[in-house]
Amino acid sequence: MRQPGQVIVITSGKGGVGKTTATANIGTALALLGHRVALVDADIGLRNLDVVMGLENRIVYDLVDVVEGFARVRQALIKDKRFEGLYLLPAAQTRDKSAVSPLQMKSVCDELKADFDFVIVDSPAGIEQGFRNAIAGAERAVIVTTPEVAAVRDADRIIGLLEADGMAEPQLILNRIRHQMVRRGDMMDIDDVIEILAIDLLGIVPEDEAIIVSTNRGDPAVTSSASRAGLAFKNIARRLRGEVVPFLQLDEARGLLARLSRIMKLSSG
Amino acid sequence: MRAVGTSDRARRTGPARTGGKGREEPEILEGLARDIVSRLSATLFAEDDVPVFARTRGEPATEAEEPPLAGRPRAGEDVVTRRERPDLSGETPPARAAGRESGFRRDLPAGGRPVLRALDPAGTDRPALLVRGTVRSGRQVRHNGDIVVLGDVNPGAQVVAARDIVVMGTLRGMAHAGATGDHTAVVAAFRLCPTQLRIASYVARPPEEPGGHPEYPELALVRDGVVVVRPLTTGMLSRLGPDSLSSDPVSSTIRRGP
Ligand SMILES: Nc1ncnc2c1ncn2[C@@H]1O[C@H](COP(=O)(O)OP(=O)(O)OP(=O)(O)O)[C@@H](O)[C@H]1O
Ligand SMILES: [Mg+2]
Repeated sequence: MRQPGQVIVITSGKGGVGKTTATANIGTALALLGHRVALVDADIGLRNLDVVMGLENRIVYDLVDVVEGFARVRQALIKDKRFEGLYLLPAAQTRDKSAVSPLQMKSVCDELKADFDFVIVDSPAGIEQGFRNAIAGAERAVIVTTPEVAAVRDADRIIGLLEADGMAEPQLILNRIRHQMVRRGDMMDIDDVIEILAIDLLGIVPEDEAIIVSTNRGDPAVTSSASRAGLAFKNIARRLRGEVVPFLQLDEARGLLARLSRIMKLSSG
Repeated sequence: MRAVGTSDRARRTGPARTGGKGREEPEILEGLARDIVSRLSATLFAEDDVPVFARTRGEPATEAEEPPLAGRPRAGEDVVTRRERPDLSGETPPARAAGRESGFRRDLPAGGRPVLRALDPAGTDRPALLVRGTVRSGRQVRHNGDIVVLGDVNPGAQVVAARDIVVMGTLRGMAHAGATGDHTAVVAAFRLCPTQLRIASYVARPPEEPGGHPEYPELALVRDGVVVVRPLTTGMLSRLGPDSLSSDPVSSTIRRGP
């Protein structure tokens, strides 16, 4: 018998910081690495993951159909059109979060992890029932934030809620980093973000136009070798499965620059 | 004073269930739908992709070449229609043609009848439902009869009818005609570029060909067990039959013509 897989929730607190983008790209990257992966869209009523994956027109059943007994999990799973071993369990679009309970969500996740190496749950924004559902079946959490004060504040709140819930060691993805802005000192310092949140850094994803193009085309950025964000997500996928992967070159340059500028600030101040 | 017993409650709710004649009561509908689906032995697995619908482009066939639409009376004929109650027994619909005519005309696997929904337990005869304005993402319009939309149906929106669906605008979302099992139902749209089409238990998605949808009205129907899309002509509409716009589910005799 195979070993059960792990259920990882991607969450943030603040909306629009890149949870769905991260779920699609990390999931696809893990499938590219040969794993069996199920993506679960827990954003009932505002589903996006199917669109980002380019699978919207293949949906027959959704998560709500499964919990209401209209369909079995296997029937609702949509096979990805590009990669072997990659599946999507879509959310319902015409219902709302109250259609699913945390307990039901947990049993769906438990069923999935018997069949998959990774089950990745795309959480809705907020701290209400949708969030509660999304984390219910997860044993690992990945927090996505952008380097903005408000997003970091919300991420901090989420980490607190997860800790209170007994979730072990959530990890952090810093998304939409603009290196020029960081260099100019116009963007929140990455070290400061990590210092505030005090959790492990899983990856830094640069701002990348390729993300917008790929999102609109329904083709995750990791499928293109030209995308820097895609490369960052590939590295994140490898770290998730336990590999030690150095952070991207630019991040190192940034670290050096930050240290330099701090030294200069010290000497000038 | 005593607590309200179960039997009291049952009696109180009893008449409300049957007395709500013609009005849609979501809870009852959902319950019934679940009932039906639990009786279905749906076998659509992830391995079975939703087939692509076939699209005929350009000049439509003339009326002479075109046989009458299955199960529909011809206009102007003396006809006796026996329209059965929607068959919800879970039996496989006829005219399956799995895998016929190239890969993309594939039907759902035999026995797969995954998407049928009960729309009205009473099965009353009703006029078409007219929807004014855009049906936006997240909204589902359901009706036990025909649905006419005076506007667009956007991606993420669903229109589900027991009979035909006509969109007097652009259909971009999902349309499910004949949702209680009538595979002679059709979907017509001024511009037909749906996310997905369903007719009875047949499910199809648009081909991923470049060029998109044509700039003329189209009609989708089930022919030989697959969903096909054709240019919509007035000739085609007349062959649907004047009486077929009624959603009478019981046997009836209709006399027309001279
Ligand atoms: N690294 C990036 N570079 C450029 N654009 C990005 C990046 N990450 C995300 N985006 C864009 O940001 C927007 C929001 O992303 P996404 O939908 O993934 O966020 P979300 O957290 O899932 O949002 P919601 O809270 O609404 O579910 C999208 O338009 C996406 O294309
Ligand atoms: Mg999202």
